[in-house]
Amino acid sequence: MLLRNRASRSISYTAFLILMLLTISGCTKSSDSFIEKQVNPQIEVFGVKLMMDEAKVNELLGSKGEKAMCVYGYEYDYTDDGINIGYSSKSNQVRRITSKNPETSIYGIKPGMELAKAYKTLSANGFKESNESKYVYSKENIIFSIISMKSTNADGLTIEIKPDEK
Amino acid sequence: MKKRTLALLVVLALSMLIFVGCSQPKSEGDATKPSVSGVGTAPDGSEVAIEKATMKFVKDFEAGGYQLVSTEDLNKWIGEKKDMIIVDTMPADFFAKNHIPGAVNAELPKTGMADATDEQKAAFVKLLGTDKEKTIVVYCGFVGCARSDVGAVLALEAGFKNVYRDPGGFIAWQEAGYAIEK
Repeated sequence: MLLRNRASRSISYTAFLILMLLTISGCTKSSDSFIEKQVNPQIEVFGVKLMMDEAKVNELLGSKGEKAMCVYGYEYDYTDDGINIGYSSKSNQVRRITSKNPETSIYGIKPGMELAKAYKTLSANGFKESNESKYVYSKENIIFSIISMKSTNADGLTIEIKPDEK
Repeated sequence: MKKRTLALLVVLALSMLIFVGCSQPKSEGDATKPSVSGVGTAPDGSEVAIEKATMKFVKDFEAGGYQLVSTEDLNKWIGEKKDMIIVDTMPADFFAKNHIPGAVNAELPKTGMADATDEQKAAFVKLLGTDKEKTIVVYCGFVGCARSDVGAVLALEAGFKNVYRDPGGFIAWQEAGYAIEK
């Protein structure tokens, strides 16, 4: 009888633990995990990362840039730094990072790099070219766009979370 | 037996929690829609933002040399089947979701002409055709959006004589309750 009680208690505890773990892991959106673990470490733009709170960005960049509204939220343009940070109006977190600053990089691609080299890097990192534009690549819920003024170099880079996602 | 029942109840209760906790919040479409879209030049109604956008708009308009058409008049033109080309200058993914009926798409930068790539310029001008007398209407998101200014200026530079910019763009169109094409 004592053994049966112990066994029953052990089963209950184990079930409880497993379910707690499932709850914690299952409720974390896999897309958020992808951004945090795989995408953000590849972004070298003054420490700014996707899904970062606006306050943290302000802390990193020192001052606020020029604010403008977008259809998916709002953005701050830091002209002197050659970057533009877009936020989701729902979460007030970074949804998009655009950089034309050659001192920054995303997936090792620096503004000014040859287009062919940029495409190669994106493909090597699992990004697929979109059907709409040869300058737009995507992977899961992330869109990587290249701004090319003369179709020779990647003059600017944009990494963003698909608008519906954040 | 009681403990087994209790254990089962705990498992059931936690399973319910998982389902409740992991369920996604209601989509935007499920929510009660506000009278305005909450997107635009100043969704919070800030007069400072409105004034800033107005000053920029007027400056761009004066420098641009194009004409303006209101959302209401554009709707009339569409109803009258006016011979014109309507160009949506928003990104392709936005255009794909919804746009003004009959519009064609060519994305232009919101930051101004200096940021328009050669390919973007060429794709935009190609959409306009060869009849320089044709009415061209260019729009983007809302009054504070500069993509349509870039388009209107490009059309004028390409030799088109009847170029109009619709200031309110898609958001004004949507808020006016006019038909939307997807």
